[in-house]
Amino acid sequence: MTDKPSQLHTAAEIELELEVVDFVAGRMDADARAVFEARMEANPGLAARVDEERRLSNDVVAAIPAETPPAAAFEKIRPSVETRRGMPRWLPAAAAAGIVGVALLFAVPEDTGKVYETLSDDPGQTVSAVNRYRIVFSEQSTEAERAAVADRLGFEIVSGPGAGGSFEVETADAVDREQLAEWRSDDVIELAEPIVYSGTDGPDP
Amino acid sequence: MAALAQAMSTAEMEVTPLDGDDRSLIRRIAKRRDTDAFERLYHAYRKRLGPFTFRIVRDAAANEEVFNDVMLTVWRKSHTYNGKSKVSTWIFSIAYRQCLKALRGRSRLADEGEAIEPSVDERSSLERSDLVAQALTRLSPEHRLVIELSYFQGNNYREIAAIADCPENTVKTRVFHARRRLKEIVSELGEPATSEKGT
Repeated sequence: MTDKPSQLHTAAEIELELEVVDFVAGRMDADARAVFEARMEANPGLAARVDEERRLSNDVVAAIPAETPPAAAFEKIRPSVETRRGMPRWLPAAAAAGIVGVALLFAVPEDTGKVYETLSDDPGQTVSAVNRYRIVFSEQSTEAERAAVADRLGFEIVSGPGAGGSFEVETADAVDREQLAEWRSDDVIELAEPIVYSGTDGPDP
Repeated sequence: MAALAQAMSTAEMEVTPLDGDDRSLIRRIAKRRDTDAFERLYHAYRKRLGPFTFRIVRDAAANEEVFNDVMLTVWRKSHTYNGKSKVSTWIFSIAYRQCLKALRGRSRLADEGEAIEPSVDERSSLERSDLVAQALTRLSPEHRLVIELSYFQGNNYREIAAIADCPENTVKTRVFHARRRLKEIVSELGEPATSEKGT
C-alpha cells in the first residue's frame, strides 16, 4: 500500500485544486461561487479541471453501492444492551459463572472436539470448542503493551505473529459480542475476530 | 406542494433526527441507560452511518459487525459525549476510528494471504467504476476515509477535521494527495486495457 505523494506541491496549487473540489461539491457560498464561475469563463483550463473533478466525484460515489445494515442487526446487540440496564457490569458474568458451576456439578465429560455457537457467528456455524481468536495488534504496539492488554482483557497469546502481524489468542471462556467489541475498541488492537473451524478441523492441541 | 414538502420533511425527521433530537437521545442513554432511546438512535444511524461503513468494509456481514461495534461504543461511552460538537460528528468520529482500525487490520491480515491481482484480460473488462472501486482499496486507510467523508458523505473540511481529530489543514492536504493518488492508481489499473492515460 504505497500512496506517498509522488511530488511536492505548492500551497497555491493545493488551494486551487481544493477550490475545484469545493465548487463541484457545492460547498461554496453564493458569492464565492459567482467569482469562481467568472474565473472559469475566462480560463478554459479551469473549466476542464472542473469537468474532470465532476467525473471523479461521480465515479467515486458510483464505484461502491451503499448498503444499509438490516433492521434485524439490532437484535444481535440487544442482549448486550438490555442485560446492562440498571444492572452492575459484573452481575451477568457472575450469573454466568454460577450457571457454569452448577452445570459442571452434573456434567459428564465426553468428546471435547465439538461443538457450539458464539454470539458473533451466524446461527448454525460450527466452531471449535476451544476459544480461539485472531488478533492484529497496532504496528506501533510494543511487546510489553501486548502483554499488558492480554492480561487486562484475559486472553493468552498462543501463536503468532503471522506475516501480516496476526496472533492467535485463547481465552478460558467464550467471548461474547460486546467483549469482542471492547477488544476492538482498545488502542492496541486493530482487529479481533473468532477463529472459526468447520467439520473436524481445529487448532493443534 | 407545501403539504408534500411538509410530509417529506416529517418523513425525513422520522428516520433522521435533528441534532436536538440526537442530543436528547444521548442524554437519555447516558443518564437513564434508556434502551428505547438507544434503539431509536441505532436505527437513525443505521441509515445515516451504515452506508458509509458499508463502503469502507464492502461486505454486508462485516458491515453489521463494524456498525454494531460503533453503536455499542456509543452505548458504553454515551456519558463521555461533552456536547461541544454535533452528536453526528461524535458518532462519526467513533466510526472513523473503528473503520481506520478495521482497514489497517484487514490490510495487514491480507498480507498473510496471497494478493490477487486482476489479470490483463480481467482488467480489459473492467468498467471505470470498477477501476475506481479497486483503486479506492489501494489507498492508505487515512486517504480512503478522507475521500469517503469528502465525496460520499459530503462533509466539509472542518467537519472532517473534527471527525478525524486532526487540524483542518491536514485534512486539506490529505484530500489533495488522496485525489492525486486515486487518479494515479486508476490510470495504472486502466493502462493495459486502454491507450488513453489519465482521467
